[in-house]
Amino acid sequence: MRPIVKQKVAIFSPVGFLDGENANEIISSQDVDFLINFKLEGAFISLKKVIFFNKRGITVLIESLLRVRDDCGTAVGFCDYDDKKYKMILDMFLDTLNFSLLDTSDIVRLFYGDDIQNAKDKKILIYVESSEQKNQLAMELYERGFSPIIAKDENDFLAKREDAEYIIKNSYLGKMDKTPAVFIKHNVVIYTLKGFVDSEVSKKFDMVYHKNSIKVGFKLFIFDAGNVSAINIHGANFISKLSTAGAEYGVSIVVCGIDKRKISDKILNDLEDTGVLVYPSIAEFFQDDELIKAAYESTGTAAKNSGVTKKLISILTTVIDSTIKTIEVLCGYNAKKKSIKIKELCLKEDCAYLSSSIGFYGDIEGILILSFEKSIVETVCKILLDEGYSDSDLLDALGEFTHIIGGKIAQQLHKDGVKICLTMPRVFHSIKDVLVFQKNSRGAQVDLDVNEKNITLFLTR
Amino acid sequence: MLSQTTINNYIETIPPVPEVVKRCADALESGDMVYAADIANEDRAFMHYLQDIVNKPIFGFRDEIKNARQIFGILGISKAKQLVYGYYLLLILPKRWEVFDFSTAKFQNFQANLIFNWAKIVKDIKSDSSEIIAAISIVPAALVVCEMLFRDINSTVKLLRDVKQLSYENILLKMTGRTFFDIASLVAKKWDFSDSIVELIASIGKHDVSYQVEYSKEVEYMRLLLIYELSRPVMVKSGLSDLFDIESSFSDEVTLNFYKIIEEGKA
Repeated sequence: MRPIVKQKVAIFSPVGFLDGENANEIISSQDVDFLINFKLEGAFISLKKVIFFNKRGITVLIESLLRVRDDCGTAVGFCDYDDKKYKMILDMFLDTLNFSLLDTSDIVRLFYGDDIQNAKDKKILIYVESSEQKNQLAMELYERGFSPIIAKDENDFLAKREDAEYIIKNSYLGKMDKTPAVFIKHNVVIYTLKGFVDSEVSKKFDMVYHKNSIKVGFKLFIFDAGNVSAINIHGANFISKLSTAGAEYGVSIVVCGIDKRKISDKILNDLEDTGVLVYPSIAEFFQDDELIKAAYESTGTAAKNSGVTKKLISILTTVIDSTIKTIEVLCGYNAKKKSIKIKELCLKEDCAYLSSSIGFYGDIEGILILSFEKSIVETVCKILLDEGYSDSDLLDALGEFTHIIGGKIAQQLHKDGVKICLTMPRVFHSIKDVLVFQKNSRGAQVDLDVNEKNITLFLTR
Repeated sequence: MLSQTTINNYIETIPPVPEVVKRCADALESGDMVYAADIANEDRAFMHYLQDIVNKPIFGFRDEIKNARQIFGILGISKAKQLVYGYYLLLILPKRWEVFDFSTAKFQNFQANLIFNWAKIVKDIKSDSSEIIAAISIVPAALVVCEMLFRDINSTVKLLRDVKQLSYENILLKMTGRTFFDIASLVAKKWDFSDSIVELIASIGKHDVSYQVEYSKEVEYMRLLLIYELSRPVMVKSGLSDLFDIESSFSDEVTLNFYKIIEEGKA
């Protein structure tokens, strides 16, 4: 069973009865290999659609995931259960519980994965009986930039639960071995290092993710070494190499939270010589307004030379056809080409547009940007939206929709012998953000008419 | 995009039930097994199907059973009816499955498991309604309907399911407002099942239908059996385990009793 992978977290959703007979099929050895290859931060099993499970079923599943954790430090466990299922799992494993239990898949994504946008605004309430677990849960969230509220007792919990967006009640953090974890804050990609940083860091580091982040336009990358005991020459060399390799794309590498106890003067000097910026702490880094401003402004040009190429033009028909086909299948409306032009991205700034982009690499490299009139987004994404969705759900759905279109293009190109891989999609709230993203880039702009609304497709390098 | 027209077009392609099979089902309905067996003998394809299913390992017969009278006699009227109604579904089976990693042989195993396990449930809950037997025999049509409806949009739907955990039924519902049980009931209607059976099949996917009051216990066990069979390894591997959205509104007592019944006698 293939999991849904989103923001570096994989969620498996088995259905019905979970026992020793079918557990091996739910997470097969191919799934384990897939998880190891992708070096995810979390791999969880949702029990939302499970109506019955026994210890054998749970054990077989978790043993598969523990193999992934042992290999690449991915955090593993279960989510989406009710009080009864939570107690059953605790009873089954008593003193041997070495995996995590998190109330819901949304809560899993608070602890793991790279999406922590608007962290401070998220209303999280923690009410967990064990004070050790309560503190651990709160600490982890604080470290990731959230500001959870801890309920003192049941009355306090009942009083505060109405206002909470996320309630952490039946959760347990098992062994946490995620090295290096990654998240994004203020357009800065932050890798968290822990323990002793040596040559092992290069084995566990997700280089594909790093390269893709550069490709979609991130320019600042922090290694947070606040919880590091020491960094040796091999660990420092790895960071230096990233700095040197990123220089041609205008990428800066920053190390925060190191002092003389953690790193020798010579190694520190060597790091700085390769262009690595060193800050005493993450907090001090984020006080550097100039640098943060640069992070926002410089996300425009990811590649050294952007623009359209013959290779990109050669796949334009496939890109247009796949986009039209996907729109037609998922929303039922006919999409018609209105115009195709090679030019800089041109969108009416006075219109309410939502946009998304997805990068691809492999035999051909490029970026596809899709801009939708806001009123048509709901229509094309209706299958991906649940009732009572919020604006942020709408943006998520747009990202997912773009990923489907990217997948369709990859599928079609594969049939023609062209192999490409996709980056994760990125969404933009306003036209201004998209135009900054594509400043000075020429590409193929295709305007589509879908139910008398405009969808713009922009293919560039 | 799927639409009501897609569904209507599909229903139109469903062939009528062969006269011999219809007569055989009617004879069983009136309780005349010997006459039903004699009718079955008239159609070689039908006989071949009966032999094929009844000799599957799950039934545990040591010697091969070939004769129609033997088959119906050993199975008893209730299982025999299920077996005959099951043949109706052969009429709509695709030659090759494209959406799911499935086959006619696997489908027949699924049917055999339903017949065998439903008999165990019936014994325990002491309920053996004719309407329920017809309903549980026709419900697997949902698997075929899903395969046939999603064929043309399969590659896009696969990509959709890669980014969001949506069951096929949820997608169908969002596109057409219909459930697989609704469509299975249309199939039953096309095959001239009584209005009450057609209604019963449609109601399996709903939760607030007054008709269910009469058969509420049976429908609950029927749902559990479907969910159980769809979560077996072959079904997980085929992708069919994601057919329906599972609601977890079953009572613990019923769920545990169900699992106990099913597991009883397993090696």
